[in-house]
Amino acid sequence: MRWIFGRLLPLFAVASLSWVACPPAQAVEFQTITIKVGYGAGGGYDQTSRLIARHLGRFLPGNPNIIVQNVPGSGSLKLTKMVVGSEPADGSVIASVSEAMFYAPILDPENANFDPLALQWIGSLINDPAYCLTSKQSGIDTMEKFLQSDFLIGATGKNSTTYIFAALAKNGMKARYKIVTGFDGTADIELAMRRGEIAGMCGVSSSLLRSDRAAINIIGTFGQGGSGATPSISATIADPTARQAADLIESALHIHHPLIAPPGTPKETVDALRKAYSAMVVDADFLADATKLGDLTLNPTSGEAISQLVAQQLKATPAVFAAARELVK
Amino acid sequence: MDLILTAIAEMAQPFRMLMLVIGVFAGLVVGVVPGIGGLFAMALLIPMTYNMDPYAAFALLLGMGSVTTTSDTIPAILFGVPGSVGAAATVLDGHAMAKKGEAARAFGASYSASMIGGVFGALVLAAAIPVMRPLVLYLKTPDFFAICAFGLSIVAILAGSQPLKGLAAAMLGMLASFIGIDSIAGIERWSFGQIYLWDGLPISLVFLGLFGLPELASLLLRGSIQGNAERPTYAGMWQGIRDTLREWPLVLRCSAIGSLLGAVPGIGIAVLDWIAYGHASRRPGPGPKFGQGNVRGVIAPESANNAKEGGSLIPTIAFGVPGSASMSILLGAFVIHGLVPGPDMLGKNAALTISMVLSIAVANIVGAVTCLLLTRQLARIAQVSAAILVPLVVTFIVVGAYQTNMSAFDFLLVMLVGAVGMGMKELNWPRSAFSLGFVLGPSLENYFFLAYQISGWSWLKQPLVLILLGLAIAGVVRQTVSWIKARGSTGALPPVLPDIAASSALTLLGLAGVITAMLDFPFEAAIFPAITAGLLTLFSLLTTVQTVLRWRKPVSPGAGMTPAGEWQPSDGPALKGNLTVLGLCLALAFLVLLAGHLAATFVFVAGGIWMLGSRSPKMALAVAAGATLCIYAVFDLLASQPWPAPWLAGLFKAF
Repeated sequence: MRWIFGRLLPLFAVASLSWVACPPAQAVEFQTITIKVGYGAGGGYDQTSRLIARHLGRFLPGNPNIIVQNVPGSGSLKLTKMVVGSEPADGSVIASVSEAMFYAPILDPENANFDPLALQWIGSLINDPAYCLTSKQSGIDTMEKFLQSDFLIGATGKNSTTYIFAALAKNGMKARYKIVTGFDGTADIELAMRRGEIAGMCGVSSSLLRSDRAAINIIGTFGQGGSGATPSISATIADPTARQAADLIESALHIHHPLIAPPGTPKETVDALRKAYSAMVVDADFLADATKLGDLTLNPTSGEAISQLVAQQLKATPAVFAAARELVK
Repeated sequence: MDLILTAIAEMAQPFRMLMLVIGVFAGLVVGVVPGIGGLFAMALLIPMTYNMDPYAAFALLLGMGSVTTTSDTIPAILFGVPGSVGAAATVLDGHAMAKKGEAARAFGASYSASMIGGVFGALVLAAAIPVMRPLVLYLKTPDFFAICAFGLSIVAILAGSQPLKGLAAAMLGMLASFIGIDSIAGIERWSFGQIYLWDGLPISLVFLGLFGLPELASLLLRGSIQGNAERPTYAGMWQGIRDTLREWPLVLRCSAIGSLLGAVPGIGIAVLDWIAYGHASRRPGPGPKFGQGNVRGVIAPESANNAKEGGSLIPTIAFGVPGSASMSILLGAFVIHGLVPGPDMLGKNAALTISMVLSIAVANIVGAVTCLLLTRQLARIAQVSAAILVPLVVTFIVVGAYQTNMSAFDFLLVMLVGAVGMGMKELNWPRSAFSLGFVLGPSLENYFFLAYQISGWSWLKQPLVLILLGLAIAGVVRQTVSWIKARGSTGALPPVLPDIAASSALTLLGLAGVITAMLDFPFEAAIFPAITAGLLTLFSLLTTVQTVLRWRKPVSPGAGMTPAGEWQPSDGPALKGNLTVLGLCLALAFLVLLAGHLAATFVFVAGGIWMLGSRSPKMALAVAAGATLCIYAVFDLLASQPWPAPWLAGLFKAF
């Protein structure tokens, strides 16, 4: 027995020494990458992730194979918490989560108990304003009627963008409508609009709409970049703190469909991922493949720019955070 | 007519037919293997359709989606393990038939019912094309609530010989369905801070544990699925087909249930399955009682769940509102191929819509015929020794469960639910009632609050709501009257002491549920769980009292007493068998975590077969190798996904 130890010990010593002494290889090399998606199969996030999985590998050192795994739950909050807590921080796992995750700890500190600044952003695909809409048959066709009338606005869950933006508009502009929660998705809300059960919805991007434009009124927009004709909703908020809070919430619209890496991922690895992402989003093959996802207008943002935007927004005072919580109540 | 001819001509192209057939075969494989459902497979297939034309793409996708419910009956009938959530109702009578040596007859009946149901669903879809949009707009949110409430009233029929237990089981199922983050207030209900539970208990896992594991224990005790040594022949299969044809009114009624309810968002395949089963059990016809191998109990759910595919396409095509979960994935395919759900699908793209109808119909026929051709081989499995079958089936259940979330909690949950299922099976708490409560709970709550938020209480005056709620109440009253009449004439009953323990435990659980719901949840999130838990307390308390009374004045177990419903007195040392099955699951779970799913499968199957008493080590190794290959083909090649690194690999990495 002893002689075995006698032989094994030096072997172990050498092995562990080499493990400790060898710094991680200088050039980052990727083996296999898993993109985890915070939503179920078939949805928008799933589709863009599978699109990225087909192309990103070509731009990374080592040309890794990329696979997609769905980890749905609580509008991607579940996956975000897993990324912060337990996913390996070595570049082998990256995640596609809601852009709203960076302010989730502010709006819902109880459930989203993580440090939003720890997330490492790789890049985002879409930068698109969101709208408040009503159906033509509801008769709510001007901002004035939208603010003064009693009617119903549909939303999915309390943490969804459909609820957050409907509440932002209602509380920010002191509108009188009621928000109905519990719909299954935006298509479900649209159908209820057609049945005349509710009047409209908020927080949807124009490309999401399935019904024909002739049947809806666009009441107002969130975020910059909307067509000049429709009024900006947050611009009408008078109180400067509430205005800044609305700005914080709206800022997420610029970084729609982002990819993140776990906190603690080495800088070289994150840099390599960001570089590859930026190269991918201008690649002709990628863009050709992207057109198959329907009328999705890509206007990507780099990981560096997202980090700056997030850091900037999270510098706001506690009063702004409190105002943000009030706005989306 | 021109449109139909155009659609036929388009579909007749060899490549499109080939895609349809490939889709059918993929769907059959997906249906047989527990754990991977059509949902997941469809998400995998969608990227493959990017470069196809829309006809070929939808032929592939619908071909796959249409037949998973044909082949998922194979494990349901043979092992009592539902291949997908839509086969749970088939387990009760289908597996009972297999035990009696009627596996071939059950297969014949189920495939032919599946085929007729599927084609019927396609016809409903075709007939709905002109009136689709007004039809979908006609149903309002309160109607959906009333449909769910009507569905829940079926519990009364499923409640079996001890109705109080049935009602309590349904409440327990509903209570289990409320675990997770609720959709109204957005708060955690009974998730104990576990992220795993946020989205509730995964339904596929619950059904695997509830139905799959308990049957394995009795398989282990019997030695093989089929008790007698009669060799299965094609004659049994033809008898099953004749059964289906003879019961054609039932087949048509259940197909109608499947296709109509399939069109209602929120009523999934797991719900309409039980509704069809409950409907059929009202009139059991000749032959054994329901739950003991009545062929009508196989025909009803099988025709309903295949008819669903056509029905759930109706709202998808008309408005882009998915009628089922797999339809929401199919919507992704619409976008990719530049199709907009809505009027275009009924005008400009009508030929494509009709080709979908054809795809569903043809896929159902091809799928059923394929399965029928395999029947004799499959039915022979009923005579294979349990020493070989049990390790194999445990492997598919445990590995299939693990791939739901790739978390150790998957193992824990499937074993926990399995243990609950074993208890329910031994003590006559009907698992069917539990299932219906479990699948209907969330829709019931959600539609109620939607209806309430939209129109207060005034929706209660809508005509369709009144009719449906009236039917539900009438059904429950009628059933109650028949219980009162049948009082005192109960047949054999399970042992008293464990029964008292179980019902007291449930009483306490219900009480704890009421208290925690009232104290911890905001009002709107508390109301449904609190009422459910309250009813659970009431029903299980009454059961306890009833059982204690029975204990106080013992009736000698007369020889002439026959068991009723799902329950049968266990035919051996049930506790030992159940513990063995749970032990096997635990061992395999540990092996998977330690060495990964492939190595674990090999070691476990070989070891399991050897341990359970097979004489030939060579055969054990051969079966183990085959099982490992099979697992690899399905879970790594077909459904390629990242598996967590096993502990051993982590250990090696560290050095």
